[in-house]
Amino acid sequence: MQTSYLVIFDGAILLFLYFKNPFNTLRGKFAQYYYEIITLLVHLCTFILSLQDTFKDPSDTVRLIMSTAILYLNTALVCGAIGFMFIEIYKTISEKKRAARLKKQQSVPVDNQESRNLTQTASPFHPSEATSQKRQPWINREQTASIENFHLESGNSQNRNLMTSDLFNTEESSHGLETNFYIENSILSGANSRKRINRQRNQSPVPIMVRQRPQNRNQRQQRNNLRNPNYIINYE
Amino acid sequence: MCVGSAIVPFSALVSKIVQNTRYLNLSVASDLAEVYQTWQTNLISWDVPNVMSDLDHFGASPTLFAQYDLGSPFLVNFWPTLINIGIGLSTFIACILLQKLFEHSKYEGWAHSLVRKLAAGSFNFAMVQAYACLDDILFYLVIDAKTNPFDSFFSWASMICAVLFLVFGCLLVFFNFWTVNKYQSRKLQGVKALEAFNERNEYWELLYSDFNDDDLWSQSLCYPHHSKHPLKFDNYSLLQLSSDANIILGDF
Repeated sequence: MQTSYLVIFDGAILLFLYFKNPFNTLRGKFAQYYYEIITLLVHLCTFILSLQDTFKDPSDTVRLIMSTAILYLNTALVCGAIGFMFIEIYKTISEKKRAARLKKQQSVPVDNQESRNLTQTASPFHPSEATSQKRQPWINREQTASIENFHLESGNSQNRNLMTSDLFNTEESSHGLETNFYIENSILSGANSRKRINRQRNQSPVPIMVRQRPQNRNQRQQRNNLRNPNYIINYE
Repeated sequence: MCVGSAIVPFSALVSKIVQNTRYLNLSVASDLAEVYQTWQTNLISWDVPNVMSDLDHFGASPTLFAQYDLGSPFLVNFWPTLINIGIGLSTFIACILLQKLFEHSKYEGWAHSLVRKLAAGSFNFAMVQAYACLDDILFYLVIDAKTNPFDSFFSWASMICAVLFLVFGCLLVFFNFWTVNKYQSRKLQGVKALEAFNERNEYWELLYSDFNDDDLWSQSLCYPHHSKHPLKFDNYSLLQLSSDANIILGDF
């Protein structure tokens, strides 16, 4: 009789898992479903065994099948538990590695700040406080942070070359682009300052992010209100 | 620092549920009967001290349980789990004290990190043991109560320990529910309150961190799991109506 209760309780727990969805991670959900289904199957086996014990002539074959099923289910449970442990360990290690990588990347904004200071010092036309303040309303803080923290993988040399040529060779782009490092004026100032900036860039492997400036202020405001601006990435 | 995943205690719980099917009075194939004899429910087994065995004047436990080396006194049956929990908790306390010492001396080297990891590991180990033994406590208490002669210090100590551990088990279940409830109320108060709560309950994260925090019930999976466990009477013999189990059930 109690074996039927066990099956009902297992079913109730499976329903709870389905409706309440208590786990955040996929592996947590999967592990819990796995455990509960194995428990349910084991209890179903015991239910069948107890049921056939009530018969006058119980079948040996059914008993053997059910007993073997319990053995295999137990093996599956142990193997699954070991597998989930390994997944957990792997996840922990990979999270630690990711955290270490992120920690490394956190040094990027500091480098950017240093580069900016260097650029500002080097450029005779670096933007004043007023220019920066004007810029602030349409560069919100999150966007700036995303620019500075954006991490780029190497291997896009084709794009890099395209961007470099677009940035430095077209008159339109020199008006239409604004860098995160406030170097647009220095680009316009001529080849010497360009060389100087490139030299400074070469000192730091940090990617320079360039944002496309909208055509006029109204459009810009609309874009700020409606969607994020496009970013073009300049690798240097 | 994360103290581990709830997957570990759940694995222990489910293993125990499956292994406890041996206490069902079923006729099984010889292969399974042999395996039932060899299954070890304790993670690490500790021999019961001879002193304790000598003091055992309890009545004989039913043959259904005796064939799996189950004795009558609570302390004898619970001894391996008790030692494991004791080792886990004492290591955790020692690590916390060391951590305090390191913080006092402002040392933050590799030893400090190692001690933090050891503290988390030992706490997790103790929790796994505690989670998995809740139904055992009830089961062993019933066996003890039915076979205890109450004629010596040991017999009384065994019964008192059984009651204390039953209370401890109930408190653990209650504490799980309380922690999750508190988490939910902090969540409504804002991010800062929640962060402060998480920092304070660093070592109890196991109870709630893995779970979906949409509402109280989805976050407190441990709670229905705990409830399910004793309710299911995984040591089913408590409900068995076989002749052996009647010795246990008696007037119950």
